Amino acid sequence: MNPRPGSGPERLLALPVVLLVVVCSALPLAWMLAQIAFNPVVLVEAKLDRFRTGLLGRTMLYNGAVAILATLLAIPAALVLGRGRGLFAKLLWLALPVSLLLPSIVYAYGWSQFLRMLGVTPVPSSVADVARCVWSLATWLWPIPAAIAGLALRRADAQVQQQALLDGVLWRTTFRQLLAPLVAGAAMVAVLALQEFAVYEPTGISVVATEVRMVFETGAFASPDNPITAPMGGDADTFTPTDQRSRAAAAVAASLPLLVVIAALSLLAFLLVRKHHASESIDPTPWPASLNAPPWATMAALLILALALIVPLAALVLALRVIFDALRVLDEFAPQISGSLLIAGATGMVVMAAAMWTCVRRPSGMTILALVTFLIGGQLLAIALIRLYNRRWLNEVYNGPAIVVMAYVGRFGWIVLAAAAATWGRPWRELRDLAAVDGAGFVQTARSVIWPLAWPILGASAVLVAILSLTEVPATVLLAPQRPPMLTPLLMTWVHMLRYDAMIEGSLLLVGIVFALTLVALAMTWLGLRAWRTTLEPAPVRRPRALRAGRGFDVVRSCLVVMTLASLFTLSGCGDASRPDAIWCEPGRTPVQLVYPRAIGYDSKRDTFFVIDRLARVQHLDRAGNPIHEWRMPEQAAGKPVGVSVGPDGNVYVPDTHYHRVIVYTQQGEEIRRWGSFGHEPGQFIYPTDIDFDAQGNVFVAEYGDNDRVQVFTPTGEVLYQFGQFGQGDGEFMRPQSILIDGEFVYITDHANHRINVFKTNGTFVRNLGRRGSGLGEFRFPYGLAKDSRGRLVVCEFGNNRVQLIDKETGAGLKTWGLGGHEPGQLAYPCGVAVDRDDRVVAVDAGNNRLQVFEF
Amino acid sequence: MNADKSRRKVRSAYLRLSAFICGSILFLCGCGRADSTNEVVLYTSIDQPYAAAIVKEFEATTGIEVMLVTDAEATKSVGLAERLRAEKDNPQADVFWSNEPFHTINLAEEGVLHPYDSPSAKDVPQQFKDPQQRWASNGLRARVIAVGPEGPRLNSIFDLRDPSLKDRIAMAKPTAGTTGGHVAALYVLWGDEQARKYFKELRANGVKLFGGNSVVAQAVADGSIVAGLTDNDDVAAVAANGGKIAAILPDQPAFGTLMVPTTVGLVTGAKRADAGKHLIDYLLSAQVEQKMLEQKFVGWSVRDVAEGKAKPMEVDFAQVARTMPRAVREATAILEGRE
Repeated sequence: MNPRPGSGPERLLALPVVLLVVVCSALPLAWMLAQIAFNPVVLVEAKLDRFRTGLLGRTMLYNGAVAILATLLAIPAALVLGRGRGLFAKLLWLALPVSLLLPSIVYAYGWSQFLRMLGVTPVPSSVADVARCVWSLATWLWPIPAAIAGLALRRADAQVQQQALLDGVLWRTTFRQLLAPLVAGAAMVAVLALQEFAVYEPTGISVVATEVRMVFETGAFASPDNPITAPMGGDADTFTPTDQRSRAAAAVAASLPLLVVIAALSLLAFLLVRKHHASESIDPTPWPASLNAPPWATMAALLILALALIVPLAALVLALRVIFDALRVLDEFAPQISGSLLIAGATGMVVMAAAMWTCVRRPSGMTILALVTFLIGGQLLAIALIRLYNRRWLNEVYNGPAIVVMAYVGRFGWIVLAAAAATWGRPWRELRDLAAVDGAGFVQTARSVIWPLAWPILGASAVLVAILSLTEVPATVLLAPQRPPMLTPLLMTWVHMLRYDAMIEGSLLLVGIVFALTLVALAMTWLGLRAWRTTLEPAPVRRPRALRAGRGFDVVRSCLVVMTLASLFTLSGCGDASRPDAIWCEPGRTPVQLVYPRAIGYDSKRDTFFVIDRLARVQHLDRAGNPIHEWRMPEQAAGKPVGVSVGPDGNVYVPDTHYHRVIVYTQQGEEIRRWGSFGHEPGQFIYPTDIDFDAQGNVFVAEYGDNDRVQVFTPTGEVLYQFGQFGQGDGEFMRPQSILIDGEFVYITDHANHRINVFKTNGTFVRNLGRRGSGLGEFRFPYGLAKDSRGRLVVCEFGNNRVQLIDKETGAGLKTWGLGGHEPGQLAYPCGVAVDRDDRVVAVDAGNNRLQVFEF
Repeated sequence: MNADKSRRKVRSAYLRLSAFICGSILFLCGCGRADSTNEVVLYTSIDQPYAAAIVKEFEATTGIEVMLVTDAEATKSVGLAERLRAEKDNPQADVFWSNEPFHTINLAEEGVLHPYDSPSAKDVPQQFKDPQQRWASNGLRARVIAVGPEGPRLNSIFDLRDPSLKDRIAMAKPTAGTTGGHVAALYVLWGDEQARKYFKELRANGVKLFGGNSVVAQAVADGSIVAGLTDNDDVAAVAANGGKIAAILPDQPAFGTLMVPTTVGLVTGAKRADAGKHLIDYLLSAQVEQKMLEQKFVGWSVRDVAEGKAKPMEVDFAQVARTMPRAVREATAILEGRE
């Protein structure tokens, strides 16, 4: 019902945002491609000869060291963030992103001051000097792996950890759980460090980023034999200067190998975060104190935080030889500060407008495009913009704030686009639907429904972009706008001075402004999350007290995630964590309460559901999740059923798993008949798991227990035939868990083989779908199975804590929903799934004692 | 009916959005517009703290606001020269004030600078100004050897080849700043072969290449190197910050040291030429030269250099400027061990 992408004028609503991204991202990217396409000679610069290989190797070595060091520094904090539950853990989440928001140039200068106070003055460009740069960058970027690993550890399975603790292998288990997120974090750190030149340049350390700047600004060579980048051209006494166009092209080419490395690292981080996110489980039980972060980790995290944040800033303050008078400094730097704030503010307004407009109509692909511009780095973006706008007829753009705003939007615009994209997620869709029912169009829906709710979060992301614009060094230094003057280029002209009061005062002023804006962003994020939670929470979900206690913490954590990493996670898979359309049931024994539900069946004729839980209770629910009726299985001591189905006759068929039989009930719970006994013979069962029916009404029963097979019975319970056996080959099973018949084909979730088997109804094997894994089209312990109105398979995965939409012909994964956790939109050990006539998916969220309703 | 309504709403939304966009564009472009009489854009490679102090006085006296565009150490002099070149068809600067003459000469030859016979340059000796009035000089800096207070007494740049200094000497990369001019001047003075030999000897003696002259001076003060080739103002700046450092004028009894004036020129096509000329008159004045002397940015006046306070290297600046590209490329390759 919500406004859909339609025809007519509505389609044009996405145009403003598209135009913005085209101007700020696509055009510079296209310019870069054109340099390569139309100036093939510049590719000489990309050729990895000895010189360039050395340069690239050096760059990777230094920044690889940064990544490793940052990751090592992050480990104690990750443990505290992931396992800590106290005040310190909360404060750590709050303080974590602060150093990241400071300009690298200020941060590194602070460390230089500290070293100077200790009497350590490394020889410029020496190994010790490189180590200083590596340390500065690592202590600047360490929050990234800390946050990623901390979040991963919070999502990790506490039961597994508890068991590991008992087995004495906790640290080995923790290491295994943290390895992928730490590698992802290290890759992200490396990407950001590779773009950095301001930390290396002042003492003359040569890395690719500094060479690119040199090539563009001076024509000095990145290699001695390139005809374009030979310094200022010319032979003998004739002077033939290279022009800016050639230097720009050479700069792009010189950075190509580095761009390949950045692309590979970004892809690695993306895949690892996505894989990790999809594969981790979560324990629904309260957090056991025995797993709390050890005191040494807390102490180490505190020490590292103090080192990373307090030491360089305190060193700046102590290095001042004059009394810091904020008013005097403000007055002294007034033109630069007002210029920087003006441009950052303008950038914030532009991206805010883009975000608001994205709420009206979401353009596709723009976030990715904007993210690519971020990944190429500020220098290349600035070079492209200079070349694009250094024209007489574009003078007003080139010689003013517009070009800088474009650079910042190109650099950081993806953050707001990702934030705005969230308003097109599942919970928002319901609001849009309601507005559409009332006759509201796209614009009116956004204005009256979305903007009032979303503005704080969108505003926070815009403020975040403004902060990053204030502290962006590479693009700002290259663009060096004349009007208005800005603070960062000024700082860059001073940074080579070992101790200079003006540099320190300017840096401290910038730090103060960044802190103030960060507080504004945090406050807005808090407001936004509160509005989202109160308005978009589909139903009051009662949670165990232990889980509810963490809610305040979650707000803080969520703020930080939004502030720093949420967008990355969103892009890499956390976008699956959409909220459900509804949550049914809560933990308990009374009607509409559940204790570890195990199975669900759907009655398509009556549009109702049957759910079985660990109390061996069969509950009959209406389409809104309200109770109709309930009954219990006759016996339950040996175990509870793991399946339930509604037959074509309207009766309820329950494979009474641990009693080796099938029991048929009426809708009211009166037993009609039962058949089966323990054994391997036809008509007997070991552990029957699920039942479905073919067009003739024949009953297909899956079972496991070293007799894994499917038996087919007549509607009256007489054995017809059987197919399949235990094993891993084609046509074999290792616990056939759920069975679904669609026309002449039988689909079976082959639980321990992590696949779906396809047979014909006569028992002929057709093919297998999927394999073990956490990607699309892959499974970890597939459990429930259903199909939607378009015939696509809906599979719930016990091991991946998600529900996956599968193309039944190719086995291709189309979409996933859910991730491990306790929150709405998160699943814990999902055991079953049903799809109703409106294609609503009802997932049996066993570990959370509830059902979650959503649509793909 | 519904379609009409929808269209009206979209149109209305677009009108508002257009108003916002137009306003933003006007605002952003408006910020970039300079008043032609009360503003002047100065590109300068003079270190920002020195330049800012001098410009402030000009602003206070004339009421003309100076938009100061400076450069960073790593691309000193060259970066702004290249920017002026790149903006030749779309000039943004009105005045170029360089910390050395060689890039200025080349820019003048390329037509980036426009003739202006400033009355303030009347008393500047002919050797320090362009016969075609495209640039003139004010204040002289010198290439010096920076040593610690207890460092060796070095009288010549040849002393840097002394094996006792192996791996403890430094200079800036010739690709930026006055070092490039110095290297080229040595090529002109000695000829290619001797110059190459000298730089090979420096390389053999373990000379380190730093990111700028100020870095060299700072490293001497820190004690991480014993001696380095740099500029007198960089030594003065480090000393003013409490650094223990001294400057030696090398080769005074022999061929002298390279002395480089700051140079000022009017940019061709300057949008604010009148204000630019006012600024040039000011920057070339004896008053500013005196201020630069007090700041210890320059060490000597162009107006009394003949009085024998320092022996300048006798080279033709124009020839040095022409030689510089090749000399810089070649010397850098030698010093980096690539040749």
